[in-house]
Amino acid sequence: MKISTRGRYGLRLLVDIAEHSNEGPIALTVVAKRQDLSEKYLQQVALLLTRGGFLTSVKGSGGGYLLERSPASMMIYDVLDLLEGNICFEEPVQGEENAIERVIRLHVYQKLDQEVKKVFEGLTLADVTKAAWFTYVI
Amino acid sequence: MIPLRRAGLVQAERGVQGGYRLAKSGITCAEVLSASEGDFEPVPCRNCTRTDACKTHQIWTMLQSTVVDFTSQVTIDELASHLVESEAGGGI
Repeated sequence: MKISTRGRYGLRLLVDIAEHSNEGPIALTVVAKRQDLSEKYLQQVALLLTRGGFLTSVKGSGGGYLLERSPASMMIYDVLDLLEGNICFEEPVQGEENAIERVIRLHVYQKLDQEVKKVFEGLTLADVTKAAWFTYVI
Repeated sequence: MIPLRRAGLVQAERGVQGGYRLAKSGITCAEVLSASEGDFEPVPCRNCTRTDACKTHQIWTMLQSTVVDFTSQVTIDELASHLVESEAGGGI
């Protein structure tokens, strides 16, 4: 499993907006400059995050994006799940599955997905924007 | 098979009765994956200069260590034993 640019940039966009949430709506031009990312690409990702209920857009001059709700209520796992389609190692069975494939799917990939879910459980956008969240997670 | 042999995970035997066998017991999925696919890196951040300032980087580190830790605990022997169970009708 590789996390695509959509997943990586989308999360950076969200973290950037969360960190500047006291400044009102944030224009993507500003984020693009601050994060050194393409504004055009950020527009696509912002649209996806808006549809997914993580961002809300404010039109007009002085417009931009705001978090749709509190960062403490936004699960990182859900954000990645939306941006990436899913973040699973297990893939749907296509055609005939032999015994070895089945054992690997159930005992490696399926369990690994459960493990990833468990590790990410409860990790919110608010945790990530705090500088020392990593020590808290461990 | 070549990367697996280079990594010392399988041994090849030549000849009519030749073939491959595991080079040792206790081989883990992490060893196999690392030999065949390289080290697991969910994001291409290795040479990024923003790593220290990047808060999302910690998420990727966490994902990476979860995958490496988990796959280091699952051995090929263990998977083979599940296979035997399933063939014996014991369910997978």
